Amino acid sequence: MSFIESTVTMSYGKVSRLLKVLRIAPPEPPCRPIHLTAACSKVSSGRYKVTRSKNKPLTYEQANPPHYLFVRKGFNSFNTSNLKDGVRPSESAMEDMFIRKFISGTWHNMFLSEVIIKRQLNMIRISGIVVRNILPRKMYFLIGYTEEMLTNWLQCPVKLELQTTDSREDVVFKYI
Amino acid sequence: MSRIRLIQLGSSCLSKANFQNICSSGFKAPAARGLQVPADPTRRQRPDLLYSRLELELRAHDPAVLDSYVTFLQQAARHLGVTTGKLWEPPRHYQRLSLLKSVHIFAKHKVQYEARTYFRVLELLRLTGSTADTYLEYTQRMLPEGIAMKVSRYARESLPEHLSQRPDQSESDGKS
Repeated sequence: MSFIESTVTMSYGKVSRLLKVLRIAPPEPPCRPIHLTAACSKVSSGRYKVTRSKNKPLTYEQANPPHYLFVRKGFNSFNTSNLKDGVRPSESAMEDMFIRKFISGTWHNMFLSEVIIKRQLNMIRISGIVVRNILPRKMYFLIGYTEEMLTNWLQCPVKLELQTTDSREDVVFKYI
Repeated sequence: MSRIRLIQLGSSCLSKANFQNICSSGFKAPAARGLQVPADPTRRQRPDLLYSRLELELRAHDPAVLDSYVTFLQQAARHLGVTTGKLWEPPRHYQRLSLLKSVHIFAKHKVQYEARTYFRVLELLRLTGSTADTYLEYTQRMLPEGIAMKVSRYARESLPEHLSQRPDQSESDGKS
């Protein structure tokens, strides 16, 4: 009788451990959480989450967050549209977005670096590092196809200036 | 003495190309990056314009690139026998934007962008029209991406006839 009636006093930690052994979810301690910082005050643009196994490769551009632009990082787009009294800034930006979408769709997973777009006089020069996983003949076709289609759509000479490399590890800066 | 001021915009983000015209021209197009068709030497030439000075105003986002291009301009002027005048740096201009970070509400949290424009002005003195055209064509073909050039040409004109002669004596008597 006394055994049944006696109460076992245990600390909260011991109770939760016991419940874990018994596979019962412990009741939450009474508390009401509050946000000490507002929901969107943390900047998360251009930053990658660290993985447990530390095997996610990052290029130099991915490893440096955007506040390092013009400090440790360079730009991906070179044009004069955003200078003081520059012309057609929005058109240049839209064209850049279109070029990047087109390149990423045409060159399936082959661009290892960012697509660099340079505007000089009336020409657009597109550069980047490409991995050599297809035959050279197919690569020549892709270069010609890209140049031809972009020239027709953007109505100005477009030239591709690519560098190729054998392995994807060449552009990896660090693993997180 | 009055002065004619002709402003020619040679920015590297120009309007749509006319490379079709180069392809369809009768004689061989210039090997360098596409620009206008060179002048026909058999056409009768008008007498050369004389410029008292040429002002090249350069604008860029990157002051290092601007400095190296200015060095190139001065070297080119030395090689072509063009007298350089002043080189000065107008004050830089920062364009700052504060935009809301979030799509909806959270107006206390903003993100700030900045676009920096650096200036350099180089003066060239006492040029003929053909020298100016040659020099400008060479330097504009070599414009790096991201640098804009504005050319102001200053020429001297002789005083017009109605100002170079004294007014009639009878007119001045009638007024007084």
